[in-house]
Amino acid sequence: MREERSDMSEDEDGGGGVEQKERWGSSHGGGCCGSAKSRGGVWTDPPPPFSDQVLENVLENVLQFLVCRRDRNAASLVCRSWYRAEAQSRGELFIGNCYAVSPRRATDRFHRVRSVVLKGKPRFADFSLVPLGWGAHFSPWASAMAAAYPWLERICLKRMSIADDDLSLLAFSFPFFKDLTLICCDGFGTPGLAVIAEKCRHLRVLDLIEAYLEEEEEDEVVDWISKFPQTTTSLETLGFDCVDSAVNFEALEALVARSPALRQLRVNHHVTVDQLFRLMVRAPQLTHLGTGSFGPPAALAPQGDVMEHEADLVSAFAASSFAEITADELKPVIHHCHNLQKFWVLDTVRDEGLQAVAATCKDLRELRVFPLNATEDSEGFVSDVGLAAISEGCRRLRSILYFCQQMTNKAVITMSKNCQELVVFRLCIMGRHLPDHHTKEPMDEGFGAIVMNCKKLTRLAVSGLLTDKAFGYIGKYGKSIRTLSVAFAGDSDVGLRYVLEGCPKLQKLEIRDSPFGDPALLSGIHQYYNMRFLWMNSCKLSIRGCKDVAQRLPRLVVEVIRDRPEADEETVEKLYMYRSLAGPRNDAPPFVKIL
Amino acid sequence: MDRLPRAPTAAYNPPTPPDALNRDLASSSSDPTSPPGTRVQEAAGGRSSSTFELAMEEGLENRGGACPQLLDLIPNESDWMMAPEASGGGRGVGGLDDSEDKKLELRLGLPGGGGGEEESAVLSLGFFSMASKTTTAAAAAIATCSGARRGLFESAEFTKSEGPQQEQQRQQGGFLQLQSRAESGDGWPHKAVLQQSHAAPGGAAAPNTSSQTRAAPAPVVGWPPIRSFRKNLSSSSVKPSVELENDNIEMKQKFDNNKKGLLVKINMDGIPIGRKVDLKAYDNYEKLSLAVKELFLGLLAAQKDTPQNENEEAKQAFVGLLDGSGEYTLVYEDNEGDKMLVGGVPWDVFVSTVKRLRVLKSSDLTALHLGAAVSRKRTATESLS
Repeated sequence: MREERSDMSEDEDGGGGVEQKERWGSSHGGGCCGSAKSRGGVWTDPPPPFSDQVLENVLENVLQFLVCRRDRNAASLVCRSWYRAEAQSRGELFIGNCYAVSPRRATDRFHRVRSVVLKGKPRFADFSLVPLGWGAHFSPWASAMAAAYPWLERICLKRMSIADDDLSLLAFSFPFFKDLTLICCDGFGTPGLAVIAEKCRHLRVLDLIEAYLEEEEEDEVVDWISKFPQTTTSLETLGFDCVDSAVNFEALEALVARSPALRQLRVNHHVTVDQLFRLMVRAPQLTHLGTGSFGPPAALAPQGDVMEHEADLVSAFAASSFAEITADELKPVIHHCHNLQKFWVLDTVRDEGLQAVAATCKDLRELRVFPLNATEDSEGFVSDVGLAAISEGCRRLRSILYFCQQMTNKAVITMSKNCQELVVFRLCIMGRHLPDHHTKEPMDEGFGAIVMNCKKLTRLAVSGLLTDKAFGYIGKYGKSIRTLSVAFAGDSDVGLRYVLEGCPKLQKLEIRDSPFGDPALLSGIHQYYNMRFLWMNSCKLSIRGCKDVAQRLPRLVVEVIRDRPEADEETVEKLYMYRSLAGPRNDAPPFVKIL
Repeated sequence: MDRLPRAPTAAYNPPTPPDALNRDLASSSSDPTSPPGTRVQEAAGGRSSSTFELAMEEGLENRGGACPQLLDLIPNESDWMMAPEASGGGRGVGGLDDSEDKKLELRLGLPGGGGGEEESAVLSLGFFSMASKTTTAAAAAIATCSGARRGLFESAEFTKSEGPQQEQQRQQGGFLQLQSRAESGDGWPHKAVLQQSHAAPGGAAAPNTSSQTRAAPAPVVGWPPIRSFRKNLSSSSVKPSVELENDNIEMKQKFDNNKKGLLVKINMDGIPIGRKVDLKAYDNYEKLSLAVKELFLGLLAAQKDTPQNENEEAKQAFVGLLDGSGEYTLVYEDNEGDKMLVGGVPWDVFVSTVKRLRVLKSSDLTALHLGAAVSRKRTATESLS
């Protein structure tokens, strides 16, 4: 039995640990991976002897119980037999970077996939840092899957470019299709939605989360809501809060009425509060109800009713993350929400509102506080006071995203001590380079405490004034960190080195506007094959350094993105590098240079 | 951990990465294996005012690449000449010295030119690097540096109305803006007051702008990191400023990365889903016609249920797109809403007025009220053979 396993497991998170690392190392040496590569990545061995086949069949049945993809990746590395069995039994395919592997390779290996999760652009694309047309096209994947997975039931795409044609292909190719979730995708419009609605008779989930639909003229907008089958539908989730165009409300109401399984509904801003009320009446079984935005404040009164109605529900009314609720409006409602676990809210509720949350929501797991005015100099409504209050009251907090204008180390340290369950800590002090509000010191100690005390932390986003010391802490204590987001921080290459050398589990590193240069980049050579990607923009990288990395790591795709053609050739504005079995992609636009 | 030179307090020392400095002073490519600490020390020793000036000039010349060195040479503890008048020009860096004392740290201001210029010029990202072409050399040099230097941002930052925060920070000393234009009331004397010891390092990073009446801080693309979807939905008091527009998907769509693209929609009779073409990619009608053919050929063949894409019949459909002689004709809708035959006006005029394109069945042509240019020049189509 040959040992080499050159193709990377579909798990981008480096599941498999040590073995995974070695494999990448040896593949670089050109040994085993070279030969497999020459075969085009397709296993062409003779079929195993009968007894082994029996074993494999048995194994497949056992492996079906393995759900977590990291476990599956580990299982697939045991031996060839397990590899085959696992490949035959994997039902959900997760591809964290659509360019890390070719669609063909994926469909060749896994034959019985029912569910696909595909991610495209780097996260900083959400903040306009990735130019339009960069890539992450869904089409090649759609074609490959249409041919290979006729039983496909579920597709979840994040940050991909999807065309209406692709949606059409989906609708026609997968007769059992049930679940379409699109997160931060773009490129399609109402015609595509119409085809899905019309053709996917078993649709359970149609969830559009912050998608950017194509602009359409009035006469081009298709009434897709009306295209759902007129019979009772199996819809469970319908979310279209990001769709700009108005929907036919009568059709929507009728749809809701004939969808007894509907539990989650998110409508767009064209649906008024009264209409929302009507929908609620039609669908009392709803557990999640939300809208993309709210009308004038007068609407808040009925909204209060809605909140009451759902007081014992697990999730909060999504509208609150877009509605400007003041503390006074929030308090009487939140007072009832003892079981609240997930709460997204605008900072208009102020520290006072957060204190009320902390007083009641003892089981809170996820909190996101968004800024009303997402600018650096706006008046801050929440501060360290709110954060500290939350940490006192919500000890089971696992995930927090907090935008504020001022923060103190003390509050962050307090949170690090109180909330030991923290897995995700994302603090965004909106003013760049802002120090501790009281002591004027850098925020090093605060973030240092977080990585030190929160042992389960896997995702961290830092902000405020930070020196290399903060990175020292991260490198020293952040042993479980998988995702790190850095902006306007650090003093020198040393900072990045600390992280690259100190965080063995690092998967996704995104950095902007920080003074890290080529030496720092080169210090991570040992790590890049273990990571899904590295993004750096507006740092101090040069072409030389990036080329160096590209040369030393042949399986790494190093993309230099140039926004402005007239910019000087030497400096690298934007760097995006990722490991890939597929090699440099062939759909790169002209402003992307692959080294 | 490694600290920057002359960092007596454990607290923060604003931005002066010695590495970059070394790249300047020393010769070769950086050696990632050597401990940065040692180089820090070297850097420390090596600094002198003359070096600074030299490097500064270099920095100014090589705007793009060497720029970071310029900023790196702005040491926090250096004793800059305080005489505002003398350094009012903004270039007065003569008094640099490696004093241990944390005196007032001044930064290069702009040698002239308005603060407005500066604000727009001093930006973190290349996004505003257009400003590099301004005559204000120092500003330009700073502007093109994509590396984020704290000092860089301070100048551009929060003016806001005088928040208490700002007051406090101002009193902390630290980086200050040495500006040629003395802002209202906040002139030099005010700065003199601020020469407290650099106790609170945060002060350095604080928005220590001299001006109280400065306009909003120059924005940076994608900061704060809020998805534009959410930004646009925020119902009230979202500043409808240019910088936010940059996050708007609409702007994104209009921004071709090579040059300004011109995407227009094109629909074809019988094909439900339309397409978009980038008119900037073509410079005459023939190329456009070919492109249209490429776009729709496959779809048309599929619709007609022909087995191959390259079916002759489908191809035939696209012959004579421009002259009305084929099965289909290309028409467009201009900015006045009129439907016109494509090819009647010079290409440039066409590009500037076209809003949408349609590929119609030629038999349907007479049904439309076509605008002018019914009698068309055949020049554009003659090359189409």
